[in-house]
Amino acid sequence: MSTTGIIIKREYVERIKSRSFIIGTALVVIGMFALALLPFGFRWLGSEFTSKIVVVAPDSGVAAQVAKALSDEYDVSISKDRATGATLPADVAQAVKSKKYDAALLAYRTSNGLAFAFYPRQTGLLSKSGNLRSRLAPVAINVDLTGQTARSAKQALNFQLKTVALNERYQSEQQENAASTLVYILLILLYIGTILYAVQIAQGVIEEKSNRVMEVMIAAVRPAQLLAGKIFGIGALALTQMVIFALAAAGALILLAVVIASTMSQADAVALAQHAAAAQANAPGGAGVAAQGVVASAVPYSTLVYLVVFFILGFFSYAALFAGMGALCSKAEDVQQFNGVMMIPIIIAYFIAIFAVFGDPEKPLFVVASMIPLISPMVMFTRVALSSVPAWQIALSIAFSLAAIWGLTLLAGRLYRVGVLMYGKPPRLGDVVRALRAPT
Amino acid sequence: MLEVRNIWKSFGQTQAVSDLSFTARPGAVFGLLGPNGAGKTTTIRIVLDILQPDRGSVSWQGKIVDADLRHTFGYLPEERGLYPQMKIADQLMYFAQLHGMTPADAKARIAQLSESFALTENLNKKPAELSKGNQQKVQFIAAIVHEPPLLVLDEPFSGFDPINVEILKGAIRGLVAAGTAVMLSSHRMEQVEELTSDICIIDRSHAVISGSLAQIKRDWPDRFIRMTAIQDLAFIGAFPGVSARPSSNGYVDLKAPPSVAPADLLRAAIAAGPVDHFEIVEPSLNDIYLHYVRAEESAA
Repeated sequence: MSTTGIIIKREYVERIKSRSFIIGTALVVIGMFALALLPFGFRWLGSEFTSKIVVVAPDSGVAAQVAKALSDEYDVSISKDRATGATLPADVAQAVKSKKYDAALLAYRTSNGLAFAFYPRQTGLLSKSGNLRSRLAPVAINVDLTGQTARSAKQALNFQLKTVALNERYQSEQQENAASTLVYILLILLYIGTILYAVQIAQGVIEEKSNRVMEVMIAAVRPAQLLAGKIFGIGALALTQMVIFALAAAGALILLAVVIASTMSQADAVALAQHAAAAQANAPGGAGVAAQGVVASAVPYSTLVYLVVFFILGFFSYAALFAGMGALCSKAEDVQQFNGVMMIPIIIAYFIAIFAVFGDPEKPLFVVASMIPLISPMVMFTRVALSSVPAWQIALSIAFSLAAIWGLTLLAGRLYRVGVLMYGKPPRLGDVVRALRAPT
Repeated sequence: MLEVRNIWKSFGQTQAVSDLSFTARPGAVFGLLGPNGAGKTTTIRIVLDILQPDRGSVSWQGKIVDADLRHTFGYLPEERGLYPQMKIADQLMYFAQLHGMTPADAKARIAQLSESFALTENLNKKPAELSKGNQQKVQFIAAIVHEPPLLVLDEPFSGFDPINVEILKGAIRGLVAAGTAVMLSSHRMEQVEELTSDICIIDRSHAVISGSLAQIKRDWPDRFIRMTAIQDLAFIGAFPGVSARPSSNGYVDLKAPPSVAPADLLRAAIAAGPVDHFEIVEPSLNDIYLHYVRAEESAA
């Protein structure tokens, strides 16, 4: 194994064995599963409030069936308007907007059978469409199979249900879900992950200095090898932890799906499973399939890939910065004063990204910010997750980040070379400049 | 052979090393001696290629020392430390591998060294669970685990208790007998005198004397005389340049310049009181050290 490889291995193995890593990882995993069980609590809390839904149907027979399917969970009214197509009558839409109802459910006939559109005003109702589908499935089967067109139950189950928010900010369920919840959570992960691991690198460097192992190390290996070992070792640790968290999150989502399925009536669960089976052709039935559907629809794979790419870019940019800083300090206390300064770009990036999440991510400010190294990982991640970014912009942003990583690592290597043997008082800016200019 | 030729090093306004040259031979101990702040550690760091000299060169077996070469050397720094959370066996394995040993070779060597330092039962402990003396032994093993051809020891005995000093000296003698070149620094002359065969004394960045210790002693102009401590030492007043320093256990140490014949001193001493011991001794390393370092200081 190469010298750098030996150092990477030590940094990785010693940290992954440490009690703080094991306990910290376990706590987050437990937290994820606890979150998955939260719907039980919400269901209990939510039972206090009943949402008011107005049903618009092509005829009174369908209207009555829909009302019956929803009546155990919602306060259902039947509109006197009749549905003639895929558009919600304007007076019904107005009634929802004026808070007379919480949502409208439009049932209409198409050449492929019965279709539905759900118009919620409350954002909280947006997440109900999975539940709605299972409730509406019996209605669709019933209406279509007794109707004039001959269809199989499988086709009837594959009915259309779209969700259109009446709240002007979001145009569809998908956008709202992906935007505010998922990307926001992933951004927080990116933010915390970058800070956590970058600070670990600074601490790792200082630990070696303060317990004086550095003296022996610096005589045995090149400073660049030591720096690379530290960054890649802790980087590998960070990725390991992310994989553990991702697996735990997937497990928690499956648990969540099972929880949702178990709280549904048996018929709902079967309908959901059948729908999932119909959608996924040859998949086996049951809650597992429903769970797969939930997991797959919650997180687009491309978003996860970008998350990993931009986490790696962010991590390496800050890792170099923090390693260089750590090399200049000799005590853990000295780092504190630097941490604040070093974190400014991360905090700026985080806030820009949040504004992008809740605004229009294609505004010039966000486009420019997504090109600036140190800030770009978070902002570009937000943009690619929320809108369609031209490939050349993504490539340019990644290229700028890679160039910055190269430059920052060279700088860190230089600081490392002169800094690792500096002991005593914390350095001032002048000392840093002098260190960088020193011939060694 | 380690050859240090005319190295210079300054940090800003501070001159740390000025025109220093010396050699360290395989199978011998070279002592770099001097007071604190004289430039010993800077010199050692230059030898190990941690610092670059402003001028001059360091070579080993005729090759300029670079990262690939210094990686074969062994180094025990003055400021020592171990990874607090890592088992002793793991740390020694880590250092051995960093110095290029295969895990199998390293394992055998660690077993053998820990046996000879009576540390075998401590291999699975963490540094905090070891006594200070045992921690120091571990550190020494870490420096020699890869059988370095050149071993550099910076103030090797500082912080060691007398028993461990003896153990360490024994280990150094063993390595020297096996052909290792040892370079050590110290400001405690009595601790290194019996080990070193070649010395260089530096003071405020300059070498004040260097060469074979035996030769330096032989060529020493002053005579050092150890004799019975008699009541009245006034007789030495008749000999210009002779000084007396009371010693322990009933002796007095005289220092006489070359112009004074020891036989004349003995006659005068017998006349002054009962003398049953009168011995011409070699100057101790401490005498040599004090001569140069003191002289420099009083001149400054």
